[in-house]
Amino acid sequence: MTKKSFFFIYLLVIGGLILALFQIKYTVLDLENEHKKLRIIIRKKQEELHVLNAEWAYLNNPERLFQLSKKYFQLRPIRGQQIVTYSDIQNSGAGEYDRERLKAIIEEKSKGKPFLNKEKH
Amino acid sequence: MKPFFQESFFKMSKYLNVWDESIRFDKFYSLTNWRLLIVSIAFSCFFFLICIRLTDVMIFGPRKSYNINSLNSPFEQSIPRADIVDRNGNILATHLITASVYADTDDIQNPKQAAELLHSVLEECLVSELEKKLSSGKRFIWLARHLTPKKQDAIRHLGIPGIYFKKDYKRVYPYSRLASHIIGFCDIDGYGIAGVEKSFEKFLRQSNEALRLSIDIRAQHILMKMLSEAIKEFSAIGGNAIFLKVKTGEIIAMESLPNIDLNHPSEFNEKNFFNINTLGVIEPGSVLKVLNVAIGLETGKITMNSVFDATKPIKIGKFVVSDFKGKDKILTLRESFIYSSNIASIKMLQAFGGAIQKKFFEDFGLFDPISLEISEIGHPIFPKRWTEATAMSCSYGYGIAVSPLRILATVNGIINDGIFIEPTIIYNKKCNYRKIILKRTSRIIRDLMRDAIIDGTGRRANIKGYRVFGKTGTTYKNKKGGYLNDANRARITSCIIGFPFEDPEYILLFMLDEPKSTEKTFGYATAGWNVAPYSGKTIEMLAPILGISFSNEA
Repeated sequence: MTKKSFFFIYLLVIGGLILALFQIKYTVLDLENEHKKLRIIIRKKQEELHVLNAEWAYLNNPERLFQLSKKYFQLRPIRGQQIVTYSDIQNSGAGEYDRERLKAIIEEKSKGKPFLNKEKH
Repeated sequence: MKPFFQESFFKMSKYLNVWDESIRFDKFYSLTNWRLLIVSIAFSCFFFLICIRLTDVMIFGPRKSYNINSLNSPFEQSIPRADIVDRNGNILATHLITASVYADTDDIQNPKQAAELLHSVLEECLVSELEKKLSSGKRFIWLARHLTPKKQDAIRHLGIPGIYFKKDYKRVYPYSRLASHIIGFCDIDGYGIAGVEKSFEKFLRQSNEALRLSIDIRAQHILMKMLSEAIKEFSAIGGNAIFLKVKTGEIIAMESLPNIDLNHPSEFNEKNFFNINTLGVIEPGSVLKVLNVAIGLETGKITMNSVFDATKPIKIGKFVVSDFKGKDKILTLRESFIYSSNIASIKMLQAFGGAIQKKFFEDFGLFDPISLEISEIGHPIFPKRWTEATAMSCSYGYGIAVSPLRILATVNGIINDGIFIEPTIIYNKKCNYRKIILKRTSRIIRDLMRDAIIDGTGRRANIKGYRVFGKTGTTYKNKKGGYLNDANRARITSCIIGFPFEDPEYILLFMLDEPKSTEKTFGYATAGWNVAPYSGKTIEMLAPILGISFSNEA
């Protein structure tokens, strides 16, 4: 390899590196700009969300909900007697009764047809 | 690289020789050469400088490096103040982004005309005031704060030079009146000046996460509703209530009426700003008999079998202490507690003595202001010298004035197996606790309080299904240095009620200030007739929300 060609290749590599460097630099700049734009959008959305959250809290004022439910529903505040635990149902035997009834209903609806297609098995 | 340099040195010497010759033989030619040399050096320097600058600009860059750290939370910078939320995450205090309008008076050409134009939008500001501001010569002066977007748009359309907008944050309270005394509020620049907003100023400014209070907004609403209903029914001048979680000391709801609408600071006054629960100090009345009995049982000076002669009134100095609806007989401990006998209370005190009473009161914390996370705390009032008369009046609830929250916290300690917990308004806070009485004593007190609800003064608070226990109390207000002794004298009625009886989970204090008798109460205005039924109703509404199981037995 002659000195001249070595020098030429040397310049070429340097030039290529410079080009690559600028290429990367501008790509990064573009990405940064895009990122900035996105951040502005995100901030705007978050601010909007913030306002919506505040409004949601305002609309959920218990007194307002109370008046609305009074106006539009037949709903009243829940009473302690209305709350039943699972064990209460079991002890009262209502659960057993329901199960029998459910079985009867299912049998009546299916009219002797098996629930599972046994032929396939 | 060596031959390359050698070659160039060789060439250079050759050129120098040429110059050397030309200088020697041809003057004109040498002058041209000199000029060329100087110009080329000048250009080289110039290009060299440009190269340096280019490298600097292109590779190292003129701007600051991109801050990677700010990528994580883009919203970080724009939160001026964290939210306050209740225990379920409902927003109690937040901020809205608004615009505020200011003027740079140097840019204003015609202040009078500008003021008139501005007044057409900002109707609340006077023209004269606006004109004064606009001709003040200042480079920055606020004209109006926190405009609505509509008004901001209208001002922008006026097109007055010298009028500018600045992004501003306004603190808003979605529930306006609920828990207003606890939350407190901010000034126009967003600095907390009352309540939690003040005491957590630093936290709220620095934190990205919301401050979570122990308040439950639903319970708070029920408490406020019941209080205002009670005040209306008995024409009281005020009322307050506290709802406490027994085992953690968390305040689930705390309301004092009249209260304030946090979004309208203009209507604040001395009266509605006053939080009776923490700032007020009152004589607790019969509720203090719980403490009296506890001390007696704890010291062993009285037992469940003790009897007290309540047939004759007792004289303390010039006052005569008698019982309200006295039974005029010898009472057992149970009877004297459930009928709330003053005479029996003094007899109990005489069994253990004033010194022991004072020591226990100190241990219960009655002489210290309560340590809550807000700054509106009242100091208790008590006599410096603990005379026999003081001890006697303290035994049935007079002579010492403490805040309602302090009374509730102490009674809570007594019924909570003797473990006293400092109340808090912060969710899931590690609380300080100390043992004040024995578990055994605590159980007996709970039994007695259950009896007071079943057959005693608190009968009207006995609601079905939650096995409540409690104690009522009526205090005569100390007015003009004495306790007015006429038929319509001013009272404070209170009721402490806890549930469920076997393993207490919540405790409620309900108080009314100067309730009047009504037709329904047959002329009575004592606690058993006004606060007791309302406490019962309140518990009835609160219990299903808080998931306390209903039992058919009780």
